[in-house]
Amino acid sequence: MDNIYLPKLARIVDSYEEADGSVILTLRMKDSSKFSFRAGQFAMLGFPGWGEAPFDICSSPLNDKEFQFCIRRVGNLSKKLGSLKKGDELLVRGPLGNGFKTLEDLEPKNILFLGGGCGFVTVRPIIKYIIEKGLYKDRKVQLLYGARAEESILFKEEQKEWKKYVDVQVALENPPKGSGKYHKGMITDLFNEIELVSPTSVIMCGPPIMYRFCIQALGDKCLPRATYLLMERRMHCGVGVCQHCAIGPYYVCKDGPVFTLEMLNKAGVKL
Amino acid sequence: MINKIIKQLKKDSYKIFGPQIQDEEVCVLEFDVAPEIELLKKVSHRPYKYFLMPIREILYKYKNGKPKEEPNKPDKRALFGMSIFDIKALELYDRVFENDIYYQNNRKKLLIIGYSATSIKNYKSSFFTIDEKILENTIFDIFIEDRKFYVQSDKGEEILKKCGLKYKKINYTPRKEDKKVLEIKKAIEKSQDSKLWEELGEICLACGKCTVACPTCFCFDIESVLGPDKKIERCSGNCFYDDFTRIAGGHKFLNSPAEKIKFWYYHKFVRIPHEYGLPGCVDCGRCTIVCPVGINITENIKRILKESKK
Repeated sequence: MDNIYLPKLARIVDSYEEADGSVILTLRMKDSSKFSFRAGQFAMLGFPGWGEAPFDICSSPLNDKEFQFCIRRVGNLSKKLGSLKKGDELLVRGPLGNGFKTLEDLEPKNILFLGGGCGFVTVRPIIKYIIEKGLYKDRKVQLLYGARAEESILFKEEQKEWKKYVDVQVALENPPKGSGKYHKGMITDLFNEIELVSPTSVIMCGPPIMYRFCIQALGDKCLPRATYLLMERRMHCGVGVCQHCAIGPYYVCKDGPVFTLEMLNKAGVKL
Repeated sequence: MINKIIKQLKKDSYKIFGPQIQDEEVCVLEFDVAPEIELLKKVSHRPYKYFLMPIREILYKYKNGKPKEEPNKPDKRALFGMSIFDIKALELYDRVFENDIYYQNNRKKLLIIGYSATSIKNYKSSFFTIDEKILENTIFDIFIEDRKFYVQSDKGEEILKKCGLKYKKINYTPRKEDKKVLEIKKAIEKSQDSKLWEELGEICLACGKCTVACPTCFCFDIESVLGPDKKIERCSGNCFYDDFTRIAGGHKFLNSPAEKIKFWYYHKFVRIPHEYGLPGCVDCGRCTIVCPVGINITENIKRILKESKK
């Protein structure tokens, strides 16, 4: 019987700063084993003496040798992980969760990403997959992203590359004066300012409050529409036993983190 | 006859645990002499669950920075006098921890001895359908029903043989789904806007006594323990405590006693049936007995069922 709780060692092969006090760590398994995952999956990252916690995998699912995490330094463990340097080792348990099984088969084909906060991290592996697999060729892909200010935009440099394939629109609460690059306001303000792709699969990566407002503001736009939400919770076991991440009848670690709005509505889960 | 079994268990080097009085409560403790029949007649105040999964156990240690599995080496233990409720809870644990190596290592060393002072036909359930085939539908090694003996396993049979006791052999088959379990599940799912949660939230102290007394509450934390040998331990959790859903930055997903108690009912009556087809509550009534503010699970379930029919 496998030990479902035992993590494996991984080595940091690269590390660089991202916006909002985040760091991107590039890892490789120490035993050179493959790390195959689907976009939307997560892993438990840990450090001896500091415990472990779930982090979204943020690199392309098409690379199973090196993989990345975007870690925002908000808690004890994330601060510790954020202080590690190239060559240091940490613990990885995963990949865990469902993730997107086949992005190719999404119905409707068009994709509208709604992102905000640190949940935005999960958009990256999906976008990377779409670009590398050329999925943008037979569908429209639109990304709406809401952030506080220019300096808190995650993956700002990379977004320039994404823009070649994906319609990227950023709304800032406090945009810099004189720059015409951003919309002013909340992500939901964009729904009236720009033409949304329609019909569409909506993929939401952000805080629950953003989900609530987005669903309300979308109203009857882009119908028929399928909505996917990425949820986050405190986790301990990561395999659907310990109960910390339960939502209604589901576990975020096992049945999620990708949920359809339909699934949550049916189970009477309030966002 | 019970004395015979106890003697045999000791001869077979089992540590024996069963109902004993401690601090005016019937707890489950180690003993050498058979407990008084009066103690066995009642359902113990404390559940047997901490023998299925310890309150705290080491999962792994770090040796030279590497995580190294720390296999648990449990003793041979006999759990004596488990009630119908307790062996029903055991069945759930066996399912939930099917792939858990620590649980399975410990479980292999356990001998389960169920006990009912009167005919099991007297067993009552306040909100589920009475199980007509309890002994077929639960898991045990030996079951004592008044003066009758039943076995399910070879190791149970061997002990009774050595004692020279007559017994009946029974095969375990999981119970067909109780329609009542589904009915309660649907009623709770429909109860989102029920005033009940608010009312319970106003009186509930979120003390967590119900989760300690509950034989099926198994949730746990995995903790990093600082000290000379850095280790990771699993310890029992409590969904009524604030850190249960707290994430880095301080946000919590359960913010009031009302939300916590609903979460707890959801676990028992929605999540567990959804996942395993079994009820997550064995209807033993321990949570009602220990609740300092008199929250009564039977009344609440009955009320939710009634409200769902409106």
